[in-house]
Amino acid sequence: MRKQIEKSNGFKHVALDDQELILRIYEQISYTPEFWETSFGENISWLEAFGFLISLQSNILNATNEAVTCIQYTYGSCGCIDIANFAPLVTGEERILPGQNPKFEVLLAGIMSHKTPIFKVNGAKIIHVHDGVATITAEMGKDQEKTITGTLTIFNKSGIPKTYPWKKTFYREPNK
Amino acid sequence: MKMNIFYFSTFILFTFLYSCSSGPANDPRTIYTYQTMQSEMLIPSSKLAENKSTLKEISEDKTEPEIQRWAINALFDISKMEKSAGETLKLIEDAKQLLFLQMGENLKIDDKASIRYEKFDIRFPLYPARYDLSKVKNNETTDVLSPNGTFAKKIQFSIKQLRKVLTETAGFHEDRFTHEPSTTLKTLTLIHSPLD
Repeated sequence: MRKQIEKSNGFKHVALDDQELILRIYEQISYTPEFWETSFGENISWLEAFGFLISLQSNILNATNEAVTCIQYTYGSCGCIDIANFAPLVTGEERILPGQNPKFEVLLAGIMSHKTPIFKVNGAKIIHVHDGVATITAEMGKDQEKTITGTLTIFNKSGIPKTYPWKKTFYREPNK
Repeated sequence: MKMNIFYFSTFILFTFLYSCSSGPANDPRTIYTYQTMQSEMLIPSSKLAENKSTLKEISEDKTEPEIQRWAINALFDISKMEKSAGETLKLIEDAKQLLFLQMGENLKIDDKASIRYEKFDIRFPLYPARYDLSKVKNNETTDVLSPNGTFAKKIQFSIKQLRKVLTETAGFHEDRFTHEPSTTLKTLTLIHSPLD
């Protein structure tokens, strides 16, 4: 049955992370015509009938519980992603004008050192990628300002790629 | 001493013969298995109630509007699934009740001789009623689940409907990263079990 469902058109459009859940629900509460023929019968013992009815109830409750648990974990979930390490990342302007106070943001970054993410850059050169962190260099030339853009692609456990674009602008201090 | 062994052996023999004469229907081991199954069914029901209660708390917390909105949507989805599951479970409960009524068993709550621990409460449809099967006196056959009967067709149809609701509500469409609301999921309706 699993293979037949996997081949169906609708199933191909289900997020990979949820496909296993869908299959489990199908497996728990799908019954063959032979099963119904055997279970629904006349003059069966009351205990057989009762056993059949509670096994149906048990499967229904388990399938519903799985579906509810899945809904509960949807918030903040982008599917299952393996993160080898977390690191606090501090971002913000490092140059401050006289009289200005520093203002910056601190966020948590997940580092995928074991599954090297794919880094792509425009107008710069990747020196190396080590432990999931890319070191990049760029030529400023005579420009006072240069913006470098790129993308970072990661894969979740099911192999779905997700690409995040990034941008960084550099300002050259004027010669004194 | 010899007499005691004789009486004991006779007792065992009669007990064995009696259990054989009552047939496999009232087999104590089967009864014990089903009693255990009835209690175990309450585990997913309790987990479900616990998850719902946590979400309800989050949905009432106005300090985090984004999370609150998500919790309200999640509760809406869960209610939809609960309603569908509840309808199917109630149908099965009705079949169970009819089974015992036809056998003339005592279903009165608060009666010591009753075989039913509690009534099925439609307000809590995910908690099936439990029966004390060891108190069932009869050893009869039933036609409650006759293939041409009402329950047989209704139960099959209801389970198919439930499967559709569960898969459509819980599964995300295409890309989970986009956090598309599950209500927009249409393609899953195309999925039908090859067994249907």
